Amino acid sequence: MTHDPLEQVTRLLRDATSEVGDVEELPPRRDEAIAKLAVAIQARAAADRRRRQMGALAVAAGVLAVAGGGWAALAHRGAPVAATAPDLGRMEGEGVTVLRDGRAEAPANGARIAEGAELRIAAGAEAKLAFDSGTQVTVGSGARVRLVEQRKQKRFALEEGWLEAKVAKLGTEERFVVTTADAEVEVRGTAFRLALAVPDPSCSVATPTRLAVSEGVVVVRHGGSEERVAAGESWPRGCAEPKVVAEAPKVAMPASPVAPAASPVKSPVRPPAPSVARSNLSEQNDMFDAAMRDKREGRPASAVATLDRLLARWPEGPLAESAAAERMRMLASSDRPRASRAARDYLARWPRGFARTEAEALAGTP
Amino acid sequence: MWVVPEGADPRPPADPSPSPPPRSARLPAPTLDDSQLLASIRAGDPDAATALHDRLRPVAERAVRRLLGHADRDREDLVQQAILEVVTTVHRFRGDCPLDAWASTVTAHVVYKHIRRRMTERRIFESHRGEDDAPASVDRRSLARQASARSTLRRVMAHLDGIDEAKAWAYVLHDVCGYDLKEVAQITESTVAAAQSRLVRGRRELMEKLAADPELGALLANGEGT
Repeated sequence: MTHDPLEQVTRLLRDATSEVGDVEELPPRRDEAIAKLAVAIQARAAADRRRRQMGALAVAAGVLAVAGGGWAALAHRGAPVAATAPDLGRMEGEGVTVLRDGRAEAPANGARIAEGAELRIAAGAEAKLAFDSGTQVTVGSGARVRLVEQRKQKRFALEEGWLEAKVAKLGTEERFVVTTADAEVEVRGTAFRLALAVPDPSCSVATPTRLAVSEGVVVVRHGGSEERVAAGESWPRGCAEPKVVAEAPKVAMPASPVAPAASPVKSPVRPPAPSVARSNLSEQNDMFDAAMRDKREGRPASAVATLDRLLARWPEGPLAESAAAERMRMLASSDRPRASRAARDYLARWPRGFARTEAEALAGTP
Repeated sequence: MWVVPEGADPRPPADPSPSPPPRSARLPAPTLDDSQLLASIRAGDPDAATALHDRLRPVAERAVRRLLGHADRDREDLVQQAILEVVTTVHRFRGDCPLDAWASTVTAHVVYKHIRRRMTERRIFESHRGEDDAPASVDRRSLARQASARSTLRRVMAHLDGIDEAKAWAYVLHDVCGYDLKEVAQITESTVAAAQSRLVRGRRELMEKLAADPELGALLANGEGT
């Protein structure tokens, strides 16, 4: 018998982990797993076919036509499927109503919530959306949140109440954005709490949006400017601690620093947002949502036209930058000269915008 | 009273001791061999899904349970994810190792990524650390030995937590789970050279921690937990 402690410890660990039990037992979710596998097998074959087609196209067109552009991403294995595949969160919680396609339903715990759905949380209730990536979004009492886009790019529209998010580290093509009536909050691997509150004259900026960051850094875009909010900070600065009024609720905000997402501050309040701004935001979200649906369903011209209308009606709206970026991307695959102009317009307006790298690449392309 | 089915031997069984618990439903044997299975997946035949699942489920389940334990809340999802990952990466499988080894490596990679993404319980062997329910039939001395073994194990895992995460992974995957260096590199998304360097340093760091813990040394010398 050896007295080498490392060897003894290794054997101990090996013995402890090798007792895996019965692995051949019929799993309860076998049918679900097989159904997913069947879809994956077909999707892989389709991606393979596309890759071969793209490869042939690339050879025919030569390297010059595609150098540095979006073609490289398209030619990358699996990218088209991954970029368009929905990534839906699982809902846990009581008192949740999901509105989608004009129907309202109460989802079962653990159900995946579809893109485009709107969540309404009953007063005193709370719900959690958990994504496979580890990202968690807690939606508070009385909140209304629309799940505008639920793919690699995740976009939520907070129309009433509050939400907290713990965002897992994002990949290069991933984004996590929450919009309110007048602001857009974008994060890259962090935890924050966002709420709508009654505008407070003591705040540095007149806005109903309240942001508190507990981990990482969050970017807030508001009124054409961009501000970084680091952990322990809140935005706008200088706001007084909001009061929680039981009978005439105003706002739900945690004490600073913000409570972690796993234990959000519970409050039976429903902070009202300005009705005009809210209706505008809903309309903007609807339009953005429609454009994204057109894009997914292969109607890029219609998608671009919808984004054009959105940008014309709300050039300063919270979705303007995202709409301009999406428009530029869609044009890139159909009309390079227009895409190039769109990219230059984007850079002129948002020189440090989130899509500047793509825009710079496109702006120089004739 | 014995109830005898028609046509059965009316004699009672020779050993009337309690029968073993009924075995739960088993996975059926796959209907395709490995080469047929891989060809069907590559051809995009969705009918291969059942055979693939039943063939790889035990492999993935075993790998997940080794790294996370039986009781982990994400176990089922991870097993499914691992088999899906086999489908999406099947073009990289060249047949230079058994399908089991390939699937096990892919599964370990899925678990590795998952643990690193988690907000909480970001440790390997997480559910091996908890108290296990001892079977009712175990006598008191065995229970005491098991408790002692668990205590030693937790102490060892605490030391493992104390070393650099990448080095701990290299040590666990290679020395404890038996993956070779090439597989460790695939699982941890590194090069073979980096995996080897981490393994050597991980062993050294763990050794230093063990040397600095005379109490654990005594437990090990007395055979506690081994």
